Amino acid sequence: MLFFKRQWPIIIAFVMGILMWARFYVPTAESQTLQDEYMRWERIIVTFASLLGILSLLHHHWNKVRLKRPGFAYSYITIFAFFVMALAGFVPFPIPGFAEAHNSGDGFHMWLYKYMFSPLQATMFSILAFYIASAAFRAFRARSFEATALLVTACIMMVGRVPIGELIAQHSVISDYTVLNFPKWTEWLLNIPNAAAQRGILLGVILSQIAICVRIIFGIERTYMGGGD
Amino acid sequence: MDFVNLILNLDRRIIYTIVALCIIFPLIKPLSLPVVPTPEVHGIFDEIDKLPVGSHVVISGDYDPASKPELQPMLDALLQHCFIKGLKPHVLTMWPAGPALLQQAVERQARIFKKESGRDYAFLGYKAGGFAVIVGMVGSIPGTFSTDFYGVPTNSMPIYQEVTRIADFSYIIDLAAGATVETWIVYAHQPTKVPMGASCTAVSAAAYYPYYQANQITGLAGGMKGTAEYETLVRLKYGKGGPGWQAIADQLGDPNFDIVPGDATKGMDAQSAVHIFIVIAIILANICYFIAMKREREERKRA
Repeated sequence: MLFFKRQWPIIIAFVMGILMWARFYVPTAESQTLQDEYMRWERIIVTFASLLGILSLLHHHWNKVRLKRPGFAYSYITIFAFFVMALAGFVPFPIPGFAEAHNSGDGFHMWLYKYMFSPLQATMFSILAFYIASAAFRAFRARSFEATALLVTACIMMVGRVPIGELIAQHSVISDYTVLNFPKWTEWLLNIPNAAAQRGILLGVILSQIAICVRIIFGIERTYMGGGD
Repeated sequence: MDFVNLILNLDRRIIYTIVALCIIFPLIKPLSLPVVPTPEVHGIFDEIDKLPVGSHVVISGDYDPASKPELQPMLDALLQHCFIKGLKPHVLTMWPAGPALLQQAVERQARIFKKESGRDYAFLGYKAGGFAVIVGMVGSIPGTFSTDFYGVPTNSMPIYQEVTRIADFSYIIDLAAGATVETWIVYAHQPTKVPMGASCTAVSAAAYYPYYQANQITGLAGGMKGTAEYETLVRLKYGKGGPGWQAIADQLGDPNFDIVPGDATKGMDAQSAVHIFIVIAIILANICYFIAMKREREERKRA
């Protein structure tokens, strides 16, 4: 049994890793068929992974409720909402008092999506604007050179990326890069320092990804199996 | 308490109230601030605008309701543009919470422009698998999506008698709230060389400039501002008074046809007001911080 827990996944990772890498250098019909088949398997595995995710979510929240951990009442809400949304998917017709009130023929699931899930998620995200405004007011201080550079850049970006920045520029521009031409400065910041930094980060990330892939293929990196090295 | 201390210890509820007012007032009473399209957004618009009638465009709406204000108006504007130009959009999503949002935009625009599903456009819905779905589409779209969102077999659709794989398309655009732009570039644009554009949330726009500069994407619409710019470009060209208006009004048989400012354009005034407030608040807080520091130093010297 230990073989199937330890060695077997490493063998699969090695064989599939080498095979899919080598496939790129073999432009034949058989190689394309292999890739198509592999991708079909990939989609099936991903679908099963979502089932695993659902079970993991329910297990986590059910344990929280069972052991009465702090905030367990929220787990009741999560479990309840999960089952209501899932079961509503099996009701493909309007329920009196819900969907039909809005002349919608979408069914109860879509009613829940449109009038509960969508506004709730949008509200959660929009609250960020308030937190960011408050946090910027309290924490954004020009304490050092780095903090000052970040602060000045943030202010230029905030004014330059909205129409009021255009309005200020239109009324104050003498040359392309006058102090108040915020959109031009924004463009410069995004295209020169930002792009250079992003390119560096991107190359670093990709090189690390290659290194991790090689480590996984050769069985050096085994944390994906749930344990340490 | 003097002014400096008052500012430095300002209750967060006051800040929240001012932010709320900055959002509400411009929405009630629009300021109609100018939206000037940037070269990045022109890169998408011009590329789509020059496509011949009947060309096929992939629109991947990889977002959920959290990013709706930034990306949903972009989908509306893109569909408007495609239908006006007589292009055939194929809309899909890689996000499980996305299909219902996409459905609203697709059906709304199809109704306005009298387009028929399966013939003038296709709505494929959601498919789990991320990059595997894209790789599958590079090989065969009907093979990857056996049915569309409504359960109609893709093999039976007239639109899939014209195109069957990504290489047959003329443009790809990804509306991304996450990191799907890279996936589309790597697995769809690179092997097929089909031109691609990207629209993303403001927070992730900075990360895509290397791809834009390397011409891996023809254009980039970042956040609500980018979307507002795209809406403006469509409105200026095809709205009432624009050079393309007459043709589309004749085609629809509606002399009153017009393109009104979209949700992103309307939201720009509110975003301007909030940004200006935050900048003023940061500057004011810093001035007060330095005054307080100076006072502290003087008090220490005196002591």
